[in-house]
Amino acid sequence: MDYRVKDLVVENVTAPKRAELATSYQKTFTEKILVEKKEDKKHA
Amino acid sequence: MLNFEEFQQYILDHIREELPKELKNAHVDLNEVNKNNGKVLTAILVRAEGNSVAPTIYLDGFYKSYEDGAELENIIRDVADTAAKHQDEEFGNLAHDFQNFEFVKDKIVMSLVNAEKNEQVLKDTPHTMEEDLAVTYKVVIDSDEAKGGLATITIKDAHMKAWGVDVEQLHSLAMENSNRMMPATLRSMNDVIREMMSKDGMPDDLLEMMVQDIPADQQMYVISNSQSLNGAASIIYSDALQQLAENLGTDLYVLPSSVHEVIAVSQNMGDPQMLAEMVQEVNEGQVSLEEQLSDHVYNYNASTQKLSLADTTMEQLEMSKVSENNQSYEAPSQEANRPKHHR
Repeated sequence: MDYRVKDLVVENVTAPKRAELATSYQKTFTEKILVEKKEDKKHA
Repeated sequence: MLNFEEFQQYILDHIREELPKELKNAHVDLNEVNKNNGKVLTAILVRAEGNSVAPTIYLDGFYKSYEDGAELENIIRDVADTAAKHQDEEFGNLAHDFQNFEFVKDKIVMSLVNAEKNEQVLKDTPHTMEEDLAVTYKVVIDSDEAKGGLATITIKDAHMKAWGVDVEQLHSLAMENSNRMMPATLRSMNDVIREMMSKDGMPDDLLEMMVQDIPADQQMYVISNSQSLNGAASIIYSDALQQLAENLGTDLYVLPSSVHEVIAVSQNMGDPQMLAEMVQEVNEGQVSLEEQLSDHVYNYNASTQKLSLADTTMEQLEMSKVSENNQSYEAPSQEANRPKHHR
């Protein structure tokens, strides 16, 4: 809940859940970067 | 079916009927609030007579419920209940104390936002540019590590003027305070995922099977702060990037995963264009507009200890912006398009 204290805006932020974001990055990084690196090594 | 403007007016006109006795004479106002990245929310403020504190109740979510079929009378009751429930929040003499620089100076911290998407807000907000990102400054009012919550007030030009300080002083205080109040954290993505799964109750032996061992220089690293809030700014106020670069023995690419954290990888891993595509893809699918930091990837040079755009340049960004403006209307000068630069 945010509050207005006279003309001041007090903003409340809560720590977001990060499970989906972390796994998305891990999955995309593995698929796009790590796999490609391994393929490059194979062809080298 | 009411449109959003009619809905707001309806709530404004009828909320008193549902407010408890002690709030019958409350001041009730509608207000637009600028959130991060140009998001604007409409709020109703209900302030008890003689009180200086008003909870800010955002109506956008309530309107969504109305569109989904909720009854107006139930919505008004919910808004009134929320207003009544949050009247007791104590801020002491905040409005008075906030005018005193001695009160705020040890509580000033920094956050990192996208300069272009916050162009309007930055016009009256002191900030320091870091490539296409802007460091802004906030005063921490309350911090609850156990609940993972942080209450802050964003410093505006008017506050800075009233205190008689400049942006360099704010920046220097924010560097010191942020390091003390919310120290940077640096963890491998594997450890982050392992911890999240463990919290969800996954047994250790299964975890070990799920999370593969990857060589250190092929891993992603998450840099944030002790509260995981506004943690992307920790790459400005801490030496986390330098530590990581030294450990890996390479320069780094920095992926701006959100305003709350960044991801860093060795420059041996992938090219910046490919990494930028990955950031854009995840931003579109997983990150709310308010939490997005940037679609670009940054280079961290360990010798110069400098951050710079890796997949594009500031000149290219300016050019594409001017070209976009030319397509839609007669563009103002390029300089006028730049966010205000305080340093």
